[in-house]
Amino acid sequence: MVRKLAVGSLVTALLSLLPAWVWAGGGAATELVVVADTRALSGFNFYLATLYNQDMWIFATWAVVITSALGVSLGLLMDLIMSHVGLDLGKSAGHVEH
Amino acid sequence: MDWLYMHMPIAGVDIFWPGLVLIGYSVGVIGGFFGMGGAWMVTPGLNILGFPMAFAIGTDIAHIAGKSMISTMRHSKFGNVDYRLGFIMLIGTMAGIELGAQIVMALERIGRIGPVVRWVYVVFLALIAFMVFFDYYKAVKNRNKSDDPSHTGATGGVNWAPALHKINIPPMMHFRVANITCSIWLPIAVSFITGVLAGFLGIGGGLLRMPALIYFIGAPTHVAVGTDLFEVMISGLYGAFTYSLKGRIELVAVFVMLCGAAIGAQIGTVATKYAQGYGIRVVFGSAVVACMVSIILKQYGITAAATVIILGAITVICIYIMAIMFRGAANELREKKAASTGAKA
Amino acid sequence: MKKILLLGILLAALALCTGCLNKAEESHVYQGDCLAIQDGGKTLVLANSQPKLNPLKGDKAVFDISKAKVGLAPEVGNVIRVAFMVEKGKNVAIKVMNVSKQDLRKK
Repeated sequence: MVRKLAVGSLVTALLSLLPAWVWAGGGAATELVVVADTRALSGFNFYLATLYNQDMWIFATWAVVITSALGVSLGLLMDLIMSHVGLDLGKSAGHVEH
Repeated sequence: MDWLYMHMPIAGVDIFWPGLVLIGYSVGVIGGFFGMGGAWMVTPGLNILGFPMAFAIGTDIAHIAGKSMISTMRHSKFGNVDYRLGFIMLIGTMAGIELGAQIVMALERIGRIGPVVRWVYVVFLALIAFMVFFDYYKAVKNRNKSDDPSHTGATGGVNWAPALHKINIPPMMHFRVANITCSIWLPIAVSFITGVLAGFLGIGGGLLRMPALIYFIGAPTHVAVGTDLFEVMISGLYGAFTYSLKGRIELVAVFVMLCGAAIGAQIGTVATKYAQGYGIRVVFGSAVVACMVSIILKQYGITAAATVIILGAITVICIYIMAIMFRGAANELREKKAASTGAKA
Repeated sequence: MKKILLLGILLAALALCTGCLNKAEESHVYQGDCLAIQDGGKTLVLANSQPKLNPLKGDKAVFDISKAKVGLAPEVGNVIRVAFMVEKGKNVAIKVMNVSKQDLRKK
């Protein structure tokens, strides 16, 4: 575990050394603006992309809300399926996953 | 072959969708099986499949948010989360994620994001592979020594926590669940550093945060696990928000991967019941090395080979874990059947 | 389990609220070759290079980009993609992307 920590610290140290190397080959700093091409889209994709072009704050809120809702509902659904199949996940409940 | 490609509405790229499903599924299987560590293959995988690097990072971090929700919910039931510690660490985690994301955006502005992130990933994965193989080597050595009565088992890590707890920078705080008292700046510093790494690489940061919680902050292992999961969820949610706000997220890909991950996670978790020995570590380490090689190939423009290697490696590791599960489940069923026949007789 | 359900309901409620709040006018997207940049960079004239896809009729379209978020500076001859809203008969750009200069796929 301590080695893992040392490794992590080393990565962070390397990260802090990066700027010189990075800037050496860099071009002029310009913000990249992305416009999603909604012209050939329809349905949910069209809605998402339009929102993306129009209002980033609502888009970001939506992104977080939909992602978490989908994560939770898929987890619940899988739990349900697994209990139907007969595999008891409770046995390995102490297990971490992320 | 057009049907194999899915249009990503925001990034405007066409992506080989079976690859996307496979990545999501594999991260689920590997994450479920090994307990953590799966996100490291998503950013490189997405980049190799054709996502611009910033989109790959944003999409990876958002899918972590979705995936970690359910595991945190499951764990909070066990009371293993020190919420006080968790909330204090939030400050560092969120600031760190934001800094990581800002570095990514700055790199994108000067047009250096691709190579820089790829090389940082190569170093990061090389270190993970080294750790995994070293652990395996140590385990094998210990097993060979186990006949020797003087052998004391695996060597424990050096615990820095008592020394760090003596640092008296106010405000000092007591964390009840973890049962430690330390300067508030210690957990903030730890979470900040892991946050930067998570925000920059698009990972959960647990690989770094968990040992830090145990050896630097001095939390008991089960509290470290629970609190780390809580931080992963928050870092995922904040990461998803900030990357969406910066416009570097592809939600459609997040959804596709989440569906794959939900199924994969169950299979991986069930497989842990039947897994034995350290051999699986070698498979994991090899997958990390394969991922590293494919990033290097992508960096030099050999994208086709990179795609084959990364998708091939994760397929192999998935099949291996699934084989463990099916063999184990079949054995269990056979034993149950034998037991019931025995009882009847 | 209760916690999860509660969270699900909360998220659904939040989603509904966000959905209701989102009554903003719908934006459109137009893409074409840049013909001219006028009024000291405040107005953009784009050719209708893809008449089947573009939502505006005519050979060219004029956009007010004074309030827009502009990425890599547009130049005459570049392919430009604009997200815009129609306000009082005027095409007001929200975002301007330089497709020619900004190929994200190389990143």
